[in-house]
Amino acid sequence: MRGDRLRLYSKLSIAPAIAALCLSALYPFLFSLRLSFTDATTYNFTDVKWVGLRNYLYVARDPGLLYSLFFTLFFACVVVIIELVLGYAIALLFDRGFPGRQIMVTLMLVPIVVAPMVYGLSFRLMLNSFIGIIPYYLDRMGITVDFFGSTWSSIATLVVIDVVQWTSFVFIILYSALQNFPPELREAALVDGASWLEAVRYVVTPVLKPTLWIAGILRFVDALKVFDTVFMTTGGGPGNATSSLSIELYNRTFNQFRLGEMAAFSVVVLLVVSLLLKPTSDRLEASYRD
Amino acid sequence: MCCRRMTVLILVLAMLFCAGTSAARVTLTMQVRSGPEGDASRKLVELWNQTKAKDAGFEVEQVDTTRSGYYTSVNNALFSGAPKPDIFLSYSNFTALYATNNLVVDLTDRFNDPTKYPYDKKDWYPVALELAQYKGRLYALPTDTNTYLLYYRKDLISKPPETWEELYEVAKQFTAKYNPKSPTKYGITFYGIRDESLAMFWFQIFKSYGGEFFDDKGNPTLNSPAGVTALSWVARVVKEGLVPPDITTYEYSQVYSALQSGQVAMGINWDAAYSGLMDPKESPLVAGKMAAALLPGVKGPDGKIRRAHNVHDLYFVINKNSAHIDEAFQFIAWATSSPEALRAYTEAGCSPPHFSIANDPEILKKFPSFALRQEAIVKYGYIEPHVPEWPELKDKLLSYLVKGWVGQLSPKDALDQACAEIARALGKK
Repeated sequence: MRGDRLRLYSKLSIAPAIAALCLSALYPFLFSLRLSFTDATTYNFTDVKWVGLRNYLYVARDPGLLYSLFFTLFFACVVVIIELVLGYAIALLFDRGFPGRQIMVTLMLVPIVVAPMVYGLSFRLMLNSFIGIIPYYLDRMGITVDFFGSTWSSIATLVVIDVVQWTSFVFIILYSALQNFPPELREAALVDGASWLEAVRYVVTPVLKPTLWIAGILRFVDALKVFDTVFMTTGGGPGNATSSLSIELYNRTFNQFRLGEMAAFSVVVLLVVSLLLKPTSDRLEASYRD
Repeated sequence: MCCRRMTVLILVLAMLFCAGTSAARVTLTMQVRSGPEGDASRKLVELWNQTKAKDAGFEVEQVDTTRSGYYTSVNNALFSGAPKPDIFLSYSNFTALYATNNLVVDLTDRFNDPTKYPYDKKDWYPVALELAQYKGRLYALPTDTNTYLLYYRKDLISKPPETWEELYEVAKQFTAKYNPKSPTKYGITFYGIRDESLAMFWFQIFKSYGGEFFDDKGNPTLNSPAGVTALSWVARVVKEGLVPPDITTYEYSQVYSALQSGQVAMGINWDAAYSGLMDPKESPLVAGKMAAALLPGVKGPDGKIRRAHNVHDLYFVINKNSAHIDEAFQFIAWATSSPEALRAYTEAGCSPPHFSIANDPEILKKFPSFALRQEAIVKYGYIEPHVPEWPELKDKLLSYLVKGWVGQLSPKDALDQACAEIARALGKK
């Protein structure tokens, strides 16, 4: 009886969260799914017609949309790898301790609290050929850098902007984990003659693996949504070279009013990302069990 | 004790009275794009609130919105059916879209009613009102009619180029890569970011080469020889490095900054840039050295230069769902047509489409570009297709244009693909 009551209270206590999730995620998804099988645009929204799989066929054949999907996956993988390596390295450095460390930890959080739109706009101004502070000082050192002149330079610049902003996020997760790392494990390795680097490689990193995975997954999911910095800097250009999923969705939904087609694209993206994340979350579960 | 209670009672009644009167006062909300038009509109709003609001019984409050994605935010707000803002600054690209979707108020009857619109209708540029009409009905009142101008360093270039080929040669002469003695780093700059203004800039080259948007059957013809030549011209200029390398991030502000820096010999930008570039406080490096000219064109067999200046309006529209349509019309009619508002708007650096403004000697003395702008609009102006799908079609074109000019696609392929997309969107093969 007591157990039944406890189970009932448990269910009731998470009911508001489930309701909020249904309202904010499930309902919009089902609405979008329905739209994806119609010819909906902003003009005919109240009088849509069923078109079956036509929108999905359009998505499968449209080179612009397919490019944005592959570009976004590529971008997310690159920034996550760089941010994990850098964030981990900085966290290890901070873990060793130095004077003023606490103040530096606080300063490391500054990039995360700046709105991505503001970040993007700031970089657009800082990298401008004529009024940008970065080209100015590079020029004085005799260095000329092309930040947005070509496809690859634009992609590289966006990667750098993302890394500058979000490495701190990875850092703070890993630094917190390192602060809670059992010191006796590290000390035992050092007593056995391992160097600091060997201790990190063979003792610290295996224990921190689940945390590294979590940091990686969180950043990956976030990087897939990249919009603000791209919108404020390249706008998806040159051409569509840096047109991420969100940029392409934004342009075709709000500037071209193609609701049905973009709803189908959203569903496809959701399926692709779910398929990608499934093995990752399985692996994460396995590493916890280990 | 009794005195204290009376004091409290009086205070409460006074507060209620104030709240009541403020609740009774109507405040219209107007959404405007930040930048020169936002600054100028704010002068109008201040003038109205100071001089007219009391008699009219309502005030106006301006909300500035970022330039990036501005029109998208306006259209979303209108489609959403929200009653606020009451007034939007929008532009003539969307007239047909607004009309066919019943998003904004039809102003025709109010405009033709002398009690509601007591201003001189003949003072308008005819093309300005034409851009705000769809199938004979008026849907907006223009604040500005704009076109592009060629800005150039008159201290370096004695005569502005008349044709696109001449512009190319002059730009090369003033690009340090080809002429180490050049006083400027780059010869020319213009729009490059994925934005409708980029398409509007390119259309001018396209039209001057004799291009047409559609044939008689409604098929897109942007990939005609005129289109390929026009896109090839831009591709050549970009490929040869006559423009800044980050040009694909350039919109109005970046082109303006580039000209202000004195590192670019010429630039193609909106006429709104003129007053700032000539102002020693705003552009200390180049004020006094800049001049403006008509855009280059193409020399015909008769020796005449065929130019094409894109003409569009910025205008005020009234939200169909506004609770104060009559008040909104009263304000926008005053703001776009009364002598004091026109003067205030002009003094703020914008360009109302009225003959009285462009022909006023005092204004011409202060803003000499107005004569040039009027010539460009009235003599060489063209307007884009006035169809509901046009915003969508233009957006489809944008990626292909930039692909063509940064070399991701050849100009022919870029325009062929653009036309195929547009034809598909129109339901044509």
